[in-house]
Amino acid sequence: MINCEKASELTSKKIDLKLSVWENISLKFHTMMCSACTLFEEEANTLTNAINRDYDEHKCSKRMTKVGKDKLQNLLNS
Amino acid sequence: MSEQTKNIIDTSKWVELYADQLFFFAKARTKNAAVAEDLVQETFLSALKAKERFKGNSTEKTWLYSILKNKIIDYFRKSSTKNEKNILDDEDRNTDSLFAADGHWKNKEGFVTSKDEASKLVESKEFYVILEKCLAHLPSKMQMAFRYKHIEDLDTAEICKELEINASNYWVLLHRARLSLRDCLTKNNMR
Repeated sequence: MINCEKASELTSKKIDLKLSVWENISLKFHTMMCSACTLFEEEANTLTNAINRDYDEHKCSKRMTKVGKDKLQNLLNS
Repeated sequence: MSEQTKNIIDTSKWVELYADQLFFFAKARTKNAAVAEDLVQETFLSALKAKERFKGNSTEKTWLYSILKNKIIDYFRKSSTKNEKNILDDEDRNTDSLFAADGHWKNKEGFVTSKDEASKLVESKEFYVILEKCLAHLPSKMQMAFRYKHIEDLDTAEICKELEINASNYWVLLHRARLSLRDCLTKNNMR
């Protein structure tokens, strides 16, 4: 039976890598009975979603300003 | 061989060819347009200085990217030393302190109470302001690991190389980043 610290590690591993069958069972079994770890899992996923979403929004402005480019061009010409 | 691999550098084309790409690369990482512009400028300056040493072993683009990557790392290093002076001593920066000796959570609360609340939260602008602040307070490598992880076109090997860590350290950093961010968001009373 794993403790919360271990369960939180497995939650991260689940997001970044992949869990083995046994790890998956251990985590499920733990979170079934532990509301604090269920909450952590929810929030860790929320963080991932939020940061991906934020990044997508930044995509809209991928160009440098005209002023910035002119400054750079002057720099290279000098 | 493409013409870029020849050992001839035409700096007059740099802005036209690379400014937007490099800017986007820097902005995605620093989340700050002004900083990104400065970093691109510094990159071009360093490249100008080192022009003679460019052997044409890589393409001009790859070469500029490698200079920019170093500038970004320096930027994070500087900004986190500033933060670390103020906050490093805080015990809440140590993720071990989040768990009791028996491995149970010391504080069972989080920054949301339900799935609905979580999906509402990611819609709100305020959340991102606080998330960004919390991210900026993480130790530099942890912060970079977490930011890089969520940026396209960077695979694990590349991230580890940039941060000079091995893969298992990288996974530990990501996990600690999550624990710290969650703790920070909870303490900043996201509810």
